[in-house]
Amino acid sequence: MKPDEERAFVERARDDPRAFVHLYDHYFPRVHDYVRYRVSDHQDAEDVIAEVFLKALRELPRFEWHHRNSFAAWLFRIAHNLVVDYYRDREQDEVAPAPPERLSDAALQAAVPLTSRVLQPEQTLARQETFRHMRALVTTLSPRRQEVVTLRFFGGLRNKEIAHVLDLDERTIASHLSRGLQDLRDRYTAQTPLGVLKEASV
Amino acid sequence: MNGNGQESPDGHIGTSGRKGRRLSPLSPDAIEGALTERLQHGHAEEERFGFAATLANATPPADETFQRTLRDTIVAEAAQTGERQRETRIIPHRGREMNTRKWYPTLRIAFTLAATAAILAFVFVTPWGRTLAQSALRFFARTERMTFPLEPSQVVTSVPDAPAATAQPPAPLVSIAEAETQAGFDVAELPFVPDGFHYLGARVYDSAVSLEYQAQGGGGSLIVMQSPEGFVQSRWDEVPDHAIVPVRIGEVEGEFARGTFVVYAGDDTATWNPDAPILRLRWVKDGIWFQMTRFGDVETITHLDRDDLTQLAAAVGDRTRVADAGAQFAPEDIVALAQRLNEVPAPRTVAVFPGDYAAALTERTAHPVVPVALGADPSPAAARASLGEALPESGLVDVVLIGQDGGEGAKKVRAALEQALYRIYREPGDTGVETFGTLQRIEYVTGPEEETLQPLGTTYNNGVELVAAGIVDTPRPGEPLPIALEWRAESPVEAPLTVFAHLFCEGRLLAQRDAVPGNGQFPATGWEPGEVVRDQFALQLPEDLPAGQCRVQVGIYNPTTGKRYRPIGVEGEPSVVIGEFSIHGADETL
Repeated sequence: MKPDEERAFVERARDDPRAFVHLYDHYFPRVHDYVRYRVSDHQDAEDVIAEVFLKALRELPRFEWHHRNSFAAWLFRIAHNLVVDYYRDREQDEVAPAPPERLSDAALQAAVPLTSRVLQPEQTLARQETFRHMRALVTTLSPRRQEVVTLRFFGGLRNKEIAHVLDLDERTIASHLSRGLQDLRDRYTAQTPLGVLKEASV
Repeated sequence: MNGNGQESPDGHIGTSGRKGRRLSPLSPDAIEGALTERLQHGHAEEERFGFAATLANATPPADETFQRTLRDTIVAEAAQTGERQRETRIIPHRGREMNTRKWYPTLRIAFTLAATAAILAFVFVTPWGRTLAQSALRFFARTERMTFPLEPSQVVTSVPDAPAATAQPPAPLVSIAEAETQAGFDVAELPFVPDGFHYLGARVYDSAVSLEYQAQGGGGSLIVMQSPEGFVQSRWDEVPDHAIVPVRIGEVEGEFARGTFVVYAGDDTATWNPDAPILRLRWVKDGIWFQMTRFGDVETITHLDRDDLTQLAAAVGDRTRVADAGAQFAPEDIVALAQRLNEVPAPRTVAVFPGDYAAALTERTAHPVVPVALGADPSPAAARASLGEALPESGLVDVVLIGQDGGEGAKKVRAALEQALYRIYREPGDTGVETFGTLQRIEYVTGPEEETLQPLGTTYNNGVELVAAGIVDTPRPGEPLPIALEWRAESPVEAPLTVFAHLFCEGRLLAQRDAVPGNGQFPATGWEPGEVVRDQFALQLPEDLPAGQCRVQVGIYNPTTGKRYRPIGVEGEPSVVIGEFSIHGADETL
């Protein structure tokens, strides 16, 4: 969806909320992936995802354009706040997914549903393993870097948009991103044998 | 498309992109994608594009069932939100919620509900029973089409200020008794005013009667239509088959439907809107065809969903329903109340509201117990007529109110009682009310059929005028002395006021009443300019009322400051003598 199209859909949805479904179709994968990285429990993550879109639908009349991509930033700010609220409600001090060692096999199965009709089962299993492995790595970052990395790579936001979501300077975002990515790369290389790397990249 | 089968956002790719995610992270395409993004954005992390691509690929596949379900939810929510937006731009008394956002480019479907209102008005003036339902179990006329063409006169080309041309003024509101007279059948009533509503009145359309309740605060209504001749069956009343839900209403079958045909601006067809906040029930009972409709979805009435509507429908015309419901009072409270009534030596009538509870007291007290039928029409005339049938022409009356503390309906009942009877004040500070849990006993005395008040025209220095006043029955020691006052203000009264009435006999204060006009029901700050407000009550005369001259003095004061208002042109005491009488002995008066 081009920015002009997105703007048209947003404006149309203000008048006729049914047009919001186009924005949902467009943004669901990005919000889904971001939230799934931030919320370890599969069911809870789906609850948060649903709330993100329903809240965006309700709040859309109050949305204001600041720049051509500001709708994405606005949407992910809602997502970010709801994730923070989720952990606050659970009285968890740290906004972070559960570490991998605490996940049982059953939990892992639940964490990645196998109902995708797009991917073949073996592809799904491979993606599940990659996701599990990478999420475990992401949780080793500081909470701020986790946030920046997941917004960048799974929310698909640019630095400027992340800065808007997190109320930080764009250069700070670039710094977090650079160092976070370097940390992840180092740990990934250290922990991932070549065979696993190949399997993960099926 | 990304890994979830979705189109990539803005076509951008690489470390953040979706285009790379369905590719092998180390594939040439992935590397090329990451390079492309690096070239596009020049971020430092793209120096490590290989790992970035791996990371971008490590996404979980979405649960498609969840994705579809959520999408359906969004669609439904969006439709409902749109309906609300349109509604807030149509219903005038929800002005504070009016959306005045400048960027609305069009109001093309903004008057959906206005059109609906027009349709309803159209329905109301259509001869009832034009077409009967085909069978007793098919209450709504079915249609397979989701649209139908409008008549040329029904096409709306601009947002109307008022319902469309098809609308005709609704019939005037009348009392239930008047509606029964006009329609020629006994109207079945709800035994109580549903939570969140207040009762407006009845309208008659040929042989059909509509009982109307308005949502408190506006924005919705509940209408119970009934007729011995059948349902209106115009095209506007048709319902798609899939939208009809069979329901059980008490002992009979019925049907429920949500939605209605609406007209969008500029359209020349009516379109079925399943999300329109219009819920309808239809059923037939004892030869009467009923339709109960809830309009609007303001918060005060949304509790009335399909199930609650069905329960409410089952209560229509069922006068034992309230009593059967029980749990309106604790057993010990009714026992205590009955005991208190039995302790009172003077003969009296006990009137119970709601009347369905009368039986609960009948078996516990020796006093005659009568049900009171108020609420359907709370006008003073109707109240007097209702009480007149149930009560003796004169004498003591203990009204027992059950669970009538709140709500518009309760206020109307209380107001009607205060205009039909004289509440007794036995001593200074007395309110005339005893409370037993959720039960209230209020002691009244009936007044004479005819009364004469003395015109006074006394204006106080706050602008309030005592128009007329008087003692309306013969004073007898040991009995209540009925007094009536009539007040008026030509402009809104800003400060609250309390009316005091003092009975002086030979210079001694023997009885006193201090109360907001109407015994609390008609506060002065709520008076309409020019409206005459009736304030009536009774002062209990002592049994040993000494022989001599007595007088009743009336005045008003600000209860907040305690300061009395002074009658303009009256010197001395800031009060007015409204009646005098002489006592010659314990049982002799002049």
